[in-house]
Amino acid sequence: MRNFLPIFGRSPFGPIKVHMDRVLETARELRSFFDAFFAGDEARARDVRKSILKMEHGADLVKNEIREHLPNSYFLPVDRRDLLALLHTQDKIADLSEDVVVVATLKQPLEFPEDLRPMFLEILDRSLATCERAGTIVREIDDLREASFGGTEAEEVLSHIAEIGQAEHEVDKAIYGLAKELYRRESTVGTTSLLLWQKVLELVGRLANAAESVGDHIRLMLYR
Amino acid sequence: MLLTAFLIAGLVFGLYMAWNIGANDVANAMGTSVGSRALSLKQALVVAAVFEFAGALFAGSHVTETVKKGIVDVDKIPDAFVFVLVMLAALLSAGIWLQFATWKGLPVSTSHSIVGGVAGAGVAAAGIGGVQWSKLAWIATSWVLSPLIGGAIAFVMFRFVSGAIINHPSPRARVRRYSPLLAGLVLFVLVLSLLYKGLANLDLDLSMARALPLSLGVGIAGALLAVPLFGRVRDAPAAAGRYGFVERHFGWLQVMTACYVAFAHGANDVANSVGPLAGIVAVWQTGAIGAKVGIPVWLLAFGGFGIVVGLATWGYRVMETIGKRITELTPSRGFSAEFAAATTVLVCTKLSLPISTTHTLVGAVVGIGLARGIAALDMRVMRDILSAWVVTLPVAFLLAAALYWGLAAIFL
Repeated sequence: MRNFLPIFGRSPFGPIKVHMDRVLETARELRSFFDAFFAGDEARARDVRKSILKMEHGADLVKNEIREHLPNSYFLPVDRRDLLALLHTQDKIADLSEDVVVVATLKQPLEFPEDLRPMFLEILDRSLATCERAGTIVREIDDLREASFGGTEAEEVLSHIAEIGQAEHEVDKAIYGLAKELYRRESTVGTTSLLLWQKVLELVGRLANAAESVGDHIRLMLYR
Repeated sequence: MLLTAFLIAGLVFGLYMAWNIGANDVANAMGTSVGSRALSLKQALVVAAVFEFAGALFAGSHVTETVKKGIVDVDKIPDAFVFVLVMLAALLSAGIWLQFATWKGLPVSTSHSIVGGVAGAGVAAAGIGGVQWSKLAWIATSWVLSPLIGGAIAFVMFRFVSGAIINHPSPRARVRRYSPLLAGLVLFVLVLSLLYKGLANLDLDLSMARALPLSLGVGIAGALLAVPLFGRVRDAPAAAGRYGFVERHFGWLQVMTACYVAFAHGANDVANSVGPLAGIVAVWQTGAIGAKVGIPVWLLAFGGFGIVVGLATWGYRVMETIGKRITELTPSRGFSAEFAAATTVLVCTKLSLPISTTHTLVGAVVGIGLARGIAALDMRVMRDILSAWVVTLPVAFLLAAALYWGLAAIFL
């Protein structure tokens, strides 16, 4: 065939949305995990843990697929490195979700003060909400592309990105508060448990951080 | 008797070339419209058939004249019969090379093949002096310039479309205001190209001073007429995204540019099939090569017919494939690319330059890519196109020379 069709490469923007969806599905499972975990439903927690590991792997596959179909010869409306960095950061959300359940299941039983549980779950929810916001922005990428990554559309997305930064900051503050409270109760919580919970909190915080970075990478694309 | 046999052979090969153009090249020109769903496959076929034919018939004589007499130096050709063999060899070599390229999937241009073929056979027949090298150099330069100019126009047009409409705070209001203007602009350029040194076949050969105000008038009238038509464009479903409404307007505008592209393509590329044929016909009619007979209208119609047959028998499949796979090209992009490519091709047609419509369209698409309008362009394909381009000229040249010597050995 003598047509000029091959000049059009495979768009990476659709798959990057698919990847973000996979990543968010993985992260959302964290809430089910801790619900089961705090309820003492070990079987259910184990199931959720397993499915998180499986979903993280699924996201990895999408990531590799995108990378394989993004050769150097592609000319994109955004910097190829920015796109790959965005993909990497999105994937981090799935990786961190996996790390959270791994750390939370290292020591059994791992106790957590009952009265602090709502506070922990609220922090987790907020961190996940930050990820969801990043997901909303990634889903805007088609409209951004239509607008050639500029104009009013870009300005709107930029303001959403700024909101993510604010939300991430709130999560960090809340985590600091909860960690301080846990250390105050060191004698009742136990040192090893304390260390593990601190690690979990740190990972939950990094989840929001990754969401913020997703926004930052999209911001770089807009400012090119 | 022998001359009539050669004429029939020429008609057969000319028809084959036209068929090839219709089967492969028209799909490139029209596939973008099918891809962006501005036209259905059936509509695209009808539009392509009508406008390709019209372009070939009404505006095809300029470039045809170049292929017929502009490349070979007719004064250096010893006699009319040799000229016939030159033209036959050129048609044959281009046909063979295109068949090979289609088989191998090489992005080869019909125009490059025929120009290389005519030059090669000309040199074989009359030595190095048998070809007007300065003219050939000018044609080759236009092959470099046309994708660049197409790219530049597309870049500017798309920048305008995204700046003035898509990226504006209220794209809906802006597209309502600007789409009649764009429709008027397309009409203006199209009518101007028809009227200015255009419709010679209808004895409507106007000077710029008369053609310009007339086409301006038609453009303005068209824009005014388009206002209520665009007013009737309905809202797009929410699934079409935020710019669905805007893209619907461009869908209609793209129907216009699709016609425009088909017309320009027919006008320029018909020469690739009937150019050499016109040389044979002239000799057959007058017995000499120098005679000023012009290009008979029936010959242009014959080329146009061949293109339409190619489109109907094979081209629709290529168009369907292209249409299915170019989903990235939304109507706003398709409009800008097609407008740029068609304008460039028509200007070259006016300058009697045989250029590649496909390359010009590729240039236009890259121009839009540079304006951040396309998701992914594979630049490796550009390299393939460039190398096919570099290879085509010498291959068609040598093949035509060899074929000429073969024909001369038999018939002279």
